[in-house]
Amino acid sequence: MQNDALRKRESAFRPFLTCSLALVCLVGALGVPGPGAVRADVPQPQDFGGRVDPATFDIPAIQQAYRKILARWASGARGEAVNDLKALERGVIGADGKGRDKLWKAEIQAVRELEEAQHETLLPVMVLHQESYAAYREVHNPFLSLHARNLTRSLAEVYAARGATEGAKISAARVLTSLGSYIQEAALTDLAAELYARSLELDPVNEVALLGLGALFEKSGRYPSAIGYLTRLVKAHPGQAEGKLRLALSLERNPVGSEIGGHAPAAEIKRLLRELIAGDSPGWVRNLAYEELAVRYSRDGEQEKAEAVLKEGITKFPNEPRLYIELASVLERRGQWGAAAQMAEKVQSLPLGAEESARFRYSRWGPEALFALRASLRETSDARLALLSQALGTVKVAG
Amino acid sequence: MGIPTRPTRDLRRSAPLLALGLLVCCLSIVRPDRAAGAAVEVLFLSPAQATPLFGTVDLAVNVRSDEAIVKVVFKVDGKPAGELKKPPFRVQWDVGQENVPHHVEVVATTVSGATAAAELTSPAVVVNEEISVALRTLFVTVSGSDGKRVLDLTRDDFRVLDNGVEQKLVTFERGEVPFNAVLLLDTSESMRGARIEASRAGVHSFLAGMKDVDEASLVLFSDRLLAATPFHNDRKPLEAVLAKTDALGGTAINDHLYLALKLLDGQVGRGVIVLFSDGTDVQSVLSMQEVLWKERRSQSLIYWLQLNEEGSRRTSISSAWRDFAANDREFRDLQRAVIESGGRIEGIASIGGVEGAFKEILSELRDQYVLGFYPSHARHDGKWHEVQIKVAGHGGVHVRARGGYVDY
Repeated sequence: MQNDALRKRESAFRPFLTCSLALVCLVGALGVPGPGAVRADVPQPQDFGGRVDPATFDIPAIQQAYRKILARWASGARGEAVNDLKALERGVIGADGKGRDKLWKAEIQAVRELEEAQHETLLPVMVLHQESYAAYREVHNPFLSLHARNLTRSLAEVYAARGATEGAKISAARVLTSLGSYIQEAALTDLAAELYARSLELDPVNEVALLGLGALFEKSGRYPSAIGYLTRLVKAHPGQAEGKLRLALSLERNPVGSEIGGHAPAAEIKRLLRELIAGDSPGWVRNLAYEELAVRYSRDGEQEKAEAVLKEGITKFPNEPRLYIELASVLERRGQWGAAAQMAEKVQSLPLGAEESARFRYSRWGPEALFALRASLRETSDARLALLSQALGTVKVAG
Repeated sequence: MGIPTRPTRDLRRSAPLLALGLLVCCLSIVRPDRAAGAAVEVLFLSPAQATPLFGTVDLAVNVRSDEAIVKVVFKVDGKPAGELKKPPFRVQWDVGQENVPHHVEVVATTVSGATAAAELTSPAVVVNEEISVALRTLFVTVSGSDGKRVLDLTRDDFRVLDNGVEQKLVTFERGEVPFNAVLLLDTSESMRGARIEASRAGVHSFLAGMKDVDEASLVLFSDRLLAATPFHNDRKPLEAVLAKTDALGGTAINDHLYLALKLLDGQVGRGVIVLFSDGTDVQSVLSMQEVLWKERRSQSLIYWLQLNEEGSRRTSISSAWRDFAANDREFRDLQRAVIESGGRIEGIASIGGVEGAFKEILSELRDQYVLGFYPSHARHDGKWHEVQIKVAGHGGVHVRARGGYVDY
């Protein structure tokens, strides 16, 4: 059943899969110069308090350094812990990826010992590795990203499987979703979709995963699939303004044009957009709702209504040039040349270019709900830091 | 920025004189004053003589004096419309939408107290079905088989066919016909660095090559509008705007191409848009069909300088706003709008070619023939009229001009 679902996901994102598979193959097939050589891009001895280059570490040494980093993380020194982890992993893996198996074994084994001492320690550990993944996007070493991604994902799966509670599943789903969002930002869309889909298996109403899948399918032009996820999203989270907007626009573009919820698409589109205008949606969403509702009216030949919507939009967003440009076009279509010219002229007197446009905001991934999800995840993780600290002490004594 | 409001549709149909006056600045009644010992003269630059006025109009004068000017006062229909102490002596005034004559008076005063005045009275549009035909102006580029432009043609060499029916040419000019250009520059993120520098160099060359009677406006865009200047003959303020603009954000060509066409509506004379971009539209709210609709009702030329350093064929994209098919359609419609306007698409393979491409457009504008005709079978039915231009007795020449117009 799960394999079937995975096959479907892979099939849906086949165009993107090729790139990801190619990367994995590349990672596996790269040649390997000998270890131990000190390179300019690995941490220097002073990075580890005067100790030797991490590339020369054996597994116990890596584990010792790793536990210290986890202890630092548990103490709340987040930035330092992430930086130390980056330095350790970068040093062990190396630019050529030679040390990746050694690092994997060392960290997995250390985490396993912690998990055996206290299962809940997994959550703060995976959050740490997820944050290191985010940091590795700036580092041009695919082995580091791959390691952080795979470790975070594996730990989340273990946490969900052994936790055996709804809460554990929901937290694991949040980790996978957060990781998926970082991956989506990096344009690895097939992988992001796979993580979102897995998140939804663990937590079927995960807001960000539903929105993420909807946005990914929308961006690839597969509107019926986008509509499916976005409809689920809006049903589970009626206040999800971005989801509602994406649903309206996916319905608008869907060539199938099937009826949704017993309403003709055009009526449903208008209803959704009107709701967004009337509600307390984020400004960029309301701005777009005005623009797109006017487009919809224009397409239906209701130019008078389009004009009224845009004029109302201008009262709410008086410095948005695009509303004036769109209104000029509508007025010109209605034969009101003079009024159209005035709108074009008005644009020149507006304060221009200070902020990204609402349409650009729509093009990029970064929903407000994601920030809420990450904040919630961090809070849950923080509540377990004491357990992590305690488990580290136990393990050290045992060691 | 002056954007005279267009008259209503019916009035515009009935305004042949407006079109005839398009390319001419007029000297109206001038009252120089030498009484105080100074020679002062006021000349109207805008509006053109015998032009019916509607909506917001540009009022502009040139003041010649052998001593300093202390003020220039504009009055419209007896009411003060503006007072300026230094050039440019240009104000905007809303004369309303009524089809009535308007009286414009401008008085300049020098430092010694000498004054001079100029005045004109704009006519109302004569609504007369027998003459309710607008002048159609065609900007024509003729090239020989060697690619060089052919510059020695006469009026008799041209035949203009409107839906296959030969038309009588009522105006014919070549060369120094003034233009108003909108330099429409993509300053999206991908233009950062050398590309925007090349863009600046191209604009600099274009502006430097303009004549005193030419004007340009700079419209800079990414996913949003970053700057839209008034039309200027002075290149310094335009270059200053470009110099301080960063490349950022996405790309929205359609919305800003529409804006450029709209800004040219309000300008007297030949309208030209030079679009310089390295990408395709992603974020516009207007479809290219909307822009095409507008383009077919405009007389402006559109040139598209398409920077493609990769030198490869364009690849399809799918975005949050449009799928592959829709994006392809937008691209084709943009190509169509450019070609239909009588302009052209210039592919630029390296940034080293940008400056030359701008210069070449300027050179082409100087070499264009300007033909005018009154359509012999205008019906104002909103239908498309295909226009063909033939050059007799010159085998192998290539003629490029607007391919038609909407009869409205």
